[in-house]
Amino acid sequence: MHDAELVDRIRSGDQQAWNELVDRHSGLLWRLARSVVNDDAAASDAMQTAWLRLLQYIDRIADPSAVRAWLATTTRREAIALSKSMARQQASDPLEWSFDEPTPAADDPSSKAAEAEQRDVVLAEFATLSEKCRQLLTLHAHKIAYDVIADTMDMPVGSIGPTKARCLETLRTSPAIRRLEMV
Amino acid sequence: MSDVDPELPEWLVDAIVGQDPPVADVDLVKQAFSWRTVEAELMELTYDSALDDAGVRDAGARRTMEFTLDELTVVIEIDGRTIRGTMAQPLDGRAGLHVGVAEVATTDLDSGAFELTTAVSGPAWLTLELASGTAETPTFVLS
Repeated sequence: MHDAELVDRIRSGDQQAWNELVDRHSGLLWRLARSVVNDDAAASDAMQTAWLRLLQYIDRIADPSAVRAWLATTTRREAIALSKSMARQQASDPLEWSFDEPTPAADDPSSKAAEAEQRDVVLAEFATLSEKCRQLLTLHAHKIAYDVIADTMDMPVGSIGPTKARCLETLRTSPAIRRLEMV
Repeated sequence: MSDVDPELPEWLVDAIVGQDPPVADVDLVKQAFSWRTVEAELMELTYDSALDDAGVRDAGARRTMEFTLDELTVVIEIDGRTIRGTMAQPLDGRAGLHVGVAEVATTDLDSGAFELTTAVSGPAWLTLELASGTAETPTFVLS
């Protein structure tokens, strides 16, 4: 079922349609928010805020087929606001704020543990990229159309490819990623 | 220099898409459908300092938002978990702060001004109960 149909059903009070839309897009929204704030809990706050705002605006969405782009833009804006707030708190707090290293489950089979370890390495390096690079690569990883990325990130369509190339090159200059690519 | 528009390597896509939001946080969104009954008139967000390019980069600035509904205008400043509001009109009534299912703080308007503080963070919104009816702001993050 397309997003537009789900939105129509949600407007008439269909909880299952709401659940389906939430399941379909929460991953993208959370990862996009996390690419901005680099923090799991803050990413959840931004994601939840976007969903609650959609509930408020559900009858006013002009183009229901573009609801994913609407959600992504709203999530990004709230994540940016949160990021600013976190930076202010960090400035007034001498404690160092750091990237939360994901921890693989202890009972993973060895192959899964190796995959998890590789993912951790990539994510740790990914976290060191600029906020713009993280957002751009996250949207690309979800195969979001260029015009939607341009709208969401408020950047010209023509600059998306070159910016992506620079972000990737930065990532690939990291020794950890070089080692990973040689394997 | 690499391609002008290169494909993302599989290891990167796998790492990014392999991060999942906490199930409990997604479930909370699903539950919100049943408790989130809007009985108030929704105000429009007409200004958000978080969307200003300058504001985004200025970590020292507090977030300022302006909401309107017909002739009604309220400006709020979010300072941590304290919200200070000023209405363009010196109206009497009551302001309420909602986080999740609960109204976590409430106060009477003082000639259109109010201050609300809470220990709770998360997605939040305000309600303004006025003689003309109840208005509600769009949801915003309280960190």
